[in-house]
Amino acid sequence: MLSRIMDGFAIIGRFTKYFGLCGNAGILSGIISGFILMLASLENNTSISDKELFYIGFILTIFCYSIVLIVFSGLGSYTIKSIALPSFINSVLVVFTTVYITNYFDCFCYAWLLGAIIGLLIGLILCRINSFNKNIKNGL
Amino acid sequence: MACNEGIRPKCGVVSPPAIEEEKKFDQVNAIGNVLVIAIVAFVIIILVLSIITFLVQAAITTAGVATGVIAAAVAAIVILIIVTNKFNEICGSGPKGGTTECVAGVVSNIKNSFSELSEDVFPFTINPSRIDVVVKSDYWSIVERNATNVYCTNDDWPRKSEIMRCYFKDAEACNALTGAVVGTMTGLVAGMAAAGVAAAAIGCATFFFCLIGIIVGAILGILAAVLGAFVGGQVGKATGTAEVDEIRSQIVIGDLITVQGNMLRREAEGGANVLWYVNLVSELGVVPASISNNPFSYCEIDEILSMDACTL
Repeated sequence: MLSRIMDGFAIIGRFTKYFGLCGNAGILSGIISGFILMLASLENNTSISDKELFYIGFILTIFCYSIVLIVFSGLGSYTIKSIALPSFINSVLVVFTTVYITNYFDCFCYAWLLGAIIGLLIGLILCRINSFNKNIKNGL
Repeated sequence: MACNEGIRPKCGVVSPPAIEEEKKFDQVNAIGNVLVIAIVAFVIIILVLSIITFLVQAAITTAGVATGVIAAAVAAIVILIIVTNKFNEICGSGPKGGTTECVAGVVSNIKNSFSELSEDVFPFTINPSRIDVVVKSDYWSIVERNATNVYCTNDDWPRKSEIMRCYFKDAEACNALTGAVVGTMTGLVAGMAAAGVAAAAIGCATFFFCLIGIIVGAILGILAAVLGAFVGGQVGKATGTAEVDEIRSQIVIGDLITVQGNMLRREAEGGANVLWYVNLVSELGVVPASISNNPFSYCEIDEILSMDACTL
């Protein structure tokens, strides 16, 4: 049974290859920010002002960006220099979108799932834009 | 020495080979695995909903403590999974499958465990000791078999040669990882306690303060787990009885050897075939001083090692 579960995780691991660096970084930022939003909403479900929403996005961005850098440079084979800027842009977009959409639809209980989907979409779009720019540079 | 211009090493990352039987087997496995994933996902969802219900009831009185502790626990458990995964890979049954293979060549590189500072500080980055063998061209088909990555020397064609990475079971790395697992578990408990205290101190008067409490809790969980892994790793390394592999300790760069072991495709190395672990080594001598080791090439090794222990 345990080996089956590990095989299952291995299949999920294989799927992550298709998402590329941007997709995986987006999912990571989205899940972390969404999970923290979910936990915070369980303790305090008062309404959030626009100013507070910005501060929340800002703090979460710093936290998620740090985690993404640690995970991809420490456990992955990337250098911090090569991923610093793209993962920063990724984290900013994913976290702020997750925070604002979660608050707008008031769906804090499912914020982690929403964050994962938003992260995947934004990550894939960023990957596509990046490859499009590369093709232009290469004259294709 | 003459190189064989009729053969070319398949270096770097290549497309995975299409093998129908393996594909069918994978499909059958995949269906079973998808079912398992669905069951596990269902259980996780039920667990999450139960936790949410519990927290909603507890939230009124805990003032941020529960969520801070949960954040710390989740962060520390992620670290624990990473450490345990590494422990299973190196000390347990390791990656599944593999076939017994034998290759011959010259040792071009030796990398012992704990040769980098990061392996001392973060035990979950440890790799067991390994030697890199520049293999005879006769054995390139073994190195390439079903591999999606092939290691090669930095030489230009036609001198470029294929390399087989050969890992040895490493008692010292295993001791350190055992200590790291215990240390991470201790760190998990300590991190949860520290996170609870910190979250209570920060309080949960507004949504923003709740969020800060959770982030602080998560950071404390990560720090405690990593610190626990480091301390546990050092204690395990220092107190464990490391059985030194005599054969490995005698191998030096330039040795002509045959190595036999379990060959498998290692995903962590881009799908390259490696010997994990070596179980038999035969030393056949040393390359003559006249031969360049910058780097070694099959052009010379094929001639020097016309006979090797694999063919016996």
